[in-house]
Amino acid sequence: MTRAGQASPLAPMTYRTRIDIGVAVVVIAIGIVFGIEALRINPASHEAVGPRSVPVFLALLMIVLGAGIGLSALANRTVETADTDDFGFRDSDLKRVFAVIGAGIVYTAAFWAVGYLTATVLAGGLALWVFGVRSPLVIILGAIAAGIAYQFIFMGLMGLLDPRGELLDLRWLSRLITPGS
Amino acid sequence: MEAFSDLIGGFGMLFGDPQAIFFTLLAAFVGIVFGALPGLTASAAIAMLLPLSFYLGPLPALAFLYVIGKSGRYGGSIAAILFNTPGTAASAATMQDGYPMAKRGQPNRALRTATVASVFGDYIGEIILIFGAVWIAQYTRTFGPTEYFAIYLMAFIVIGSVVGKSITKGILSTIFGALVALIGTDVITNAPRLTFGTQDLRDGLSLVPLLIGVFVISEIIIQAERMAKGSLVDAGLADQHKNDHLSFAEVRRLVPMMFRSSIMGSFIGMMPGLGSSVACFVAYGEEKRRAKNSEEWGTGVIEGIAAPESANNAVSGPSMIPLLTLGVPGSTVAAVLIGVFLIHGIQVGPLLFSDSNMIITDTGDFFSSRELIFALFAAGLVGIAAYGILGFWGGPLIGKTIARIPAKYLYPIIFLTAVAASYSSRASIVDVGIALLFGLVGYAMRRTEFAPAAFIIAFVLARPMEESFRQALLLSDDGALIFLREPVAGSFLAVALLVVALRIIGQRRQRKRAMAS
Repeated sequence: MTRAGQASPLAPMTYRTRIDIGVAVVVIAIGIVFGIEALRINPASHEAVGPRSVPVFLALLMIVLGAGIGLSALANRTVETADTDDFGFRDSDLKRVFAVIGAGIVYTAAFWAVGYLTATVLAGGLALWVFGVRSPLVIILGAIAAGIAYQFIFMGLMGLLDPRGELLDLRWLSRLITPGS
Repeated sequence: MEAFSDLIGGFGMLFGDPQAIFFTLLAAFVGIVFGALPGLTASAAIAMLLPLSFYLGPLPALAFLYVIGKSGRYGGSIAAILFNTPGTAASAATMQDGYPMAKRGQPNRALRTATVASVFGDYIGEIILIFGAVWIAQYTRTFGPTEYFAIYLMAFIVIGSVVGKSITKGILSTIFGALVALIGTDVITNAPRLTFGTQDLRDGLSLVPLLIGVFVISEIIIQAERMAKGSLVDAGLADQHKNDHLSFAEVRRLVPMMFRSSIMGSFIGMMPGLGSSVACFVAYGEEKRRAKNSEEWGTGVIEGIAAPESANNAVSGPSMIPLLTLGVPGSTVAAVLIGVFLIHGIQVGPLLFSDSNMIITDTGDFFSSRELIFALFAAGLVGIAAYGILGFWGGPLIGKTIARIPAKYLYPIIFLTAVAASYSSRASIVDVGIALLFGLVGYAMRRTEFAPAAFIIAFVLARPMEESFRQALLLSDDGALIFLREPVAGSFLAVALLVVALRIIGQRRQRKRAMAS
């Protein structure tokens, strides 16, 4: 440490600093993506401020503030604050995170491919497994019960559109539960 | 006095609509249950149930979601007291005395103190809302795009800078919310913006999948992680009893403190972005400072439960004042309610209090927006009584029941409900994908001290802010100077700068103290 709170250039980084630098990179990248997309907006307008101005300004501000986070993290790279318990991904269980998101992706893909009811049964079983249920009987019966219940509530009672699957039309199954859908 | 007679009319309208009464009472129960589930909040409940409100009339829909916001805040105290986990951020201070009291065999006493204090605070806040909103709306009716832009900008800056731990990350959360909101077609020139060449994005993103992603899916991910560590609820406390009752004399002794805390909570609630989580700690700290038995606070005293609970529930009503008088949502619940107003063709802002602003429902009924708002206030008052009664006698039972539901069954149900709800807003599979994407975004935001609430509020505010900015410039002869020359607009911008300056000074002091120690 050269002075209170200021680190020498070779001082090791704290965990918070490393995460904040990563955050800065991601924020700048998002800002650049939005900025490039904003520059593609047709600026033609009779106004002083057209449809492009605000998005471009916000994207630039995002890049500047992202850089601010990165610089501030580097300037305080050895200062560890007390409240870091919930900060960052040190305690993250990435397997679980991706299991939940994976279940969601499977749900969405199945929804598109085979329609709502079959997708819900499939995702219900997956979700039970992700949350730690290991009994095959509970998973199968729970998933079927969930599928029937959700089909009845959302398509039957609330009258939502029951879309056909793009690959396989299984609405003959869902019509056993909600004949009018 | 006029407001009082309108309120009587509001009760008449509410009790004349059985569906509205049913959904008000249902909301009291649903909010308590969601609030009491560790990790889930009133915002999560509202996000999942918002699509249901599309199928209701304006009064039942608004009453349902508004009362869930209130009872959800209260429900958080059940999780705080019984499970030592704040069901909502607003209950974090309640844990400090609530859990030790429950642990020593007085869970019912702790829960009933929380119920009485929550109901007391919520009624004070609701009264301030009813009379305050009517009074403020008289002045804001004359505002034009210049003033509105200044107000929106102030809300952006204030919410961004106060809602999270870091000012920069809070403001970045609002900028990100604004950029996501601008995806779609420009309302003035009809030009597609930020659509990344995708046809599906030309209509913009809907609020429901974003809300579900940021508040529900991200929480499901966090709960899945916790389950892996086996760190879920510490249940069963409500089975042990020892002097486990709250006497009338004790309640009477708490009244002055509850009143002070409620006033503090109400004023904090009026500031956009400063929500219940701030109010509960301010009231807890202030009342502990004043208390003669301050050294006992934290060991399980009823005062340590009553102060934060009065304050956090008093926030509920006044946090609606910016929404109803200016059209600016001060909280996530208010941001969602904007969506419900718009779905029913009602423009939020001071004109809501106009008698000539008529609303015609699908069934052919018609009433003025003023009548609707006073019926909503009446629903709020009925909802407070309903959750008070349910909580006073049923709180321990609700808590014990939740503790007995295995999380491995509960969260899959919430996951399926969240996905179905995100699909149901526009019957679009793309919305399901967006909910999942923003679930991951919300998770990352929470892990890195960004502010999901600021992101959502900015998403709601960004388009009207941009429109008022462009309209003001069209009207201006002096370009952007119009925002400084108009005294009202200039004052709001000055307030925004002042809040940011105070926050920066406060953070620097905190940092210096941390470094010194």
